[in-house]
Amino acid sequence: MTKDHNLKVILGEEKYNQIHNSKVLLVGAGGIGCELLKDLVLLGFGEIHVVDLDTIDLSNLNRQFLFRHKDIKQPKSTTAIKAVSGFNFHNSKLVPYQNSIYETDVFPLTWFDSFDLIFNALDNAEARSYINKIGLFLNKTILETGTTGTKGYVQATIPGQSACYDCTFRETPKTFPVCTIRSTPSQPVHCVHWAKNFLFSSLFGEDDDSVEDNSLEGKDASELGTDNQEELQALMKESNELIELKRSIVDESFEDKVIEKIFVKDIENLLKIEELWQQRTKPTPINYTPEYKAEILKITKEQLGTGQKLWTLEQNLSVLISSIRNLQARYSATTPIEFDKDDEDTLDFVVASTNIRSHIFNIPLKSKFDIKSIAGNIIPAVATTNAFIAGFSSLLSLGIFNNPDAFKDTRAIFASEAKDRFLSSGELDHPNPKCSACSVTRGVANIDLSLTFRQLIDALVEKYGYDEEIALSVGSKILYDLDLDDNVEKSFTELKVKYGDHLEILDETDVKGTVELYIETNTDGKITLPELVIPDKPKPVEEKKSEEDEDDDDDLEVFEENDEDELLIVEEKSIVSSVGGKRKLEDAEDNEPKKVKV
Amino acid sequence: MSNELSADEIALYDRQLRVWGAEGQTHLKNSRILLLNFTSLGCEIIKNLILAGVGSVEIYDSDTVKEQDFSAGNFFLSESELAKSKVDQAIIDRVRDLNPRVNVTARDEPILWEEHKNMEYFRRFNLIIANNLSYEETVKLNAITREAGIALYLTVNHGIYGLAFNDLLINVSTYVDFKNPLARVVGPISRNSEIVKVEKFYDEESEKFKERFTVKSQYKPFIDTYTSSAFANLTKRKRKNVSELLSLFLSNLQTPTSDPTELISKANELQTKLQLNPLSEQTINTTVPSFLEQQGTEIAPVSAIMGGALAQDIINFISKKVEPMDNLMIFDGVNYSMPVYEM
Repeated sequence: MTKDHNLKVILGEEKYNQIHNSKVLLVGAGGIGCELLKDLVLLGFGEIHVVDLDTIDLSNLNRQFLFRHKDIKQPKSTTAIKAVSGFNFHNSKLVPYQNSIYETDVFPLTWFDSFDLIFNALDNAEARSYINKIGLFLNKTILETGTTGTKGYVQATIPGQSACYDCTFRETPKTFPVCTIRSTPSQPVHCVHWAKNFLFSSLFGEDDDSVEDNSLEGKDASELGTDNQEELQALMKESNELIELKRSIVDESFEDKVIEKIFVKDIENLLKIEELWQQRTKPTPINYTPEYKAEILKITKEQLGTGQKLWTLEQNLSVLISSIRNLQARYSATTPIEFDKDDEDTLDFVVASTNIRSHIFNIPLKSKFDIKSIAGNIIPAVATTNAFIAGFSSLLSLGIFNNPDAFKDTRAIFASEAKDRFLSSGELDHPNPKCSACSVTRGVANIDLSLTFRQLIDALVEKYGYDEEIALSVGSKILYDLDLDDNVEKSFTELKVKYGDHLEILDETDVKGTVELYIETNTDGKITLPELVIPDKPKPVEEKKSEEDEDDDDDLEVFEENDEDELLIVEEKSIVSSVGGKRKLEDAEDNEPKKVKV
Repeated sequence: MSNELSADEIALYDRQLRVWGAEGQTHLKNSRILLLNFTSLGCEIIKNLILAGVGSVEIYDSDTVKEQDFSAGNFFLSESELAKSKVDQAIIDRVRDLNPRVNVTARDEPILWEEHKNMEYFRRFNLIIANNLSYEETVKLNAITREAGIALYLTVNHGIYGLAFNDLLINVSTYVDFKNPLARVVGPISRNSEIVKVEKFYDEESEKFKERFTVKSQYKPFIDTYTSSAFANLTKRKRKNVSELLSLFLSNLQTPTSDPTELISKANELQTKLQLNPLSEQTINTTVPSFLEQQGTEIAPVSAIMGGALAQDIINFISKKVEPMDNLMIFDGVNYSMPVYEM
């Protein structure tokens, strides 16, 4: 039998040849990406291009199976390609890129257009949305994937037919009122937030960026969580004293000053505000004496173990002192230190100060392992789920490839934790008419950037029949509207519009729907606009009452950003039901990005 | 038994410890796995288990590398090993390289199922994964695992269709989960399982009530699937929804054939015995031909999917964190479904 035997029998000769002559893009060579690359190579896809900016870390090796210990710090893209070339039995052409996918000079729209299919194996919502838009501009199908621990999904976006990535509302991370963090914490997560975003950045971060989300300025009572003037005064005083304290960072006594202020005096000051403690358990400042410190300093590294077990108050203080000493030595005003979960000194400082504060406020302490997870937004990740999800992404691609009925034939797949099945699947949903991405009419404009905005506006009016009441923006920047006409005589270059920007045209008379143009450039003094059929803006409709899917007894999901390679959380239901145009109106509103004038 | 994880292990396994915890990881570290037949699916399962950090894996295969193996999806092979043993040193070195902490060994000397001395060999393992055995081998192996108290996972796959079966003997494990609206109570919960203990407690972290409950599951031997009453009391709709691949796989394993008429007749006999409906037109006209055509073939995506699901199930069983499946799974790559039947 021949080398291709299995593939030819299972796929059939025709599909096998189509796959063998195809060119696909894989965005991401992390947990899902390594698995997908393996599958695509073994299936014999003709040409596979792999983009990943990242380098390999130790904590990747438990699942990113193309990487070895010796590969740590090497680029993921090139290392992955080298690894799969050992089993490149069908001679796929493999092309790695160690670049950010947003680099429009490396990845212009025409480059994306050269692929038959795009596989997403990404770790963040922003990049997913970007690729989603590229797919919409080019009318190209994307197979989108994500995993968190043992949960995961695969979902195809077929522009014009299915819902797109941005049709689904995603929850934003939870925030806490300032006073909960600063004066009345009740959970470990409050103390972690305080230690990392307030204390650490005040002491070791850049002078001015200290603590934007914990400062009191410009916030209303609901964001602050209090209108108690006495409390606000105390918090203000605390912050000012901290800035003062930072000046003594070079002193040998810095560690004692920090501990005495943060864990003794500040707490004593809070205790004076009696109103705070009428319904709450009072905090207890620690008793920090030279004798006590001498005992603390006797604690050895061995006694602290590997960070899985809880440390005592004294052990936390010893870790705090040693981390302060290390950070003091590393700090200077020109080289402020950023928190990084993989930077031991910064992590130790945050873990120890979290736990000391928790102790003071009668909150359960946590192990270093657990606090690392909260402070570093670590998303659990395993090889098995990635293999499963990537396997489905490649399997579904076979059915989508060259299939005009792909929308009907393919399925959205969710890994299931139910006892009676390993997955749940559903038909692809129709586009959400209120989606901020796929309800927009798209095209490519070719513009000489030395021309002025006035020339563009004239061209738009002439080509599409707008009157002048339009607003033009790129990303979150509004560049022109009726009240902002200072820019009209400026050139695109002056307004920092460049190749690859997405220019949004909003009809302020509310007649035409929104248009977004991908900017390509020329130097011939021309503006060439695409032929577009711009539909009228949809009228707002009453939302029908949503029905529950009858088959969704378990499964969860919805997607949240993280710093690792995989995402998502929350409830599959919300996807399944959103993938049916059943989602609530307010969700769509929240999806609308906020804009600022420049 | 080693019980403590080192700092290096904690750093390496960080992302998965957040799924099954240090205790689960320790259980994995103490597990000894035997893989029978180094198929593409076998390769995916052990890849995932080795990455997860099991104690040891022995790979058995008495066959040689064939030309067509290069399209089946076993990525540990390379073309230079054509006609060599499937567990050639170079191949095993590649497997070992995945995670040097796992002790990987190989065997190509045929297993003589008749000889009782094999008991000693099998007793060295606490979990066996067997791919594409014959019916006779399956029955004999299952008898051995039952006698020796070894957990067993069996797989059979034909192209985009697959079956997996597990026999975990009597499995008693304690799990923690959020409290259901209806509290768990001691007593039977399914055909083969019962809850033997429930404790309610308040979890400070999630600020919710949780339950710690012990489940005792009595797994059945593989041959029992042929006479199972699992489907006897199903509603009409549910009976109709039972995957007919189940009978195709089971009857084709017992009486291998490449003749569609014979397969259909054997499968229908089994459907009747299992109190299921006769095979549908769809199955007869579409599934049976492609099932037979794809006999003995494998493809990477299916191996990856089944390998991912089964390795996670094995990890669930070994780490004692999540209930493992009970006891037969069908993979249907045409309809994208993976039901589990408690036979």
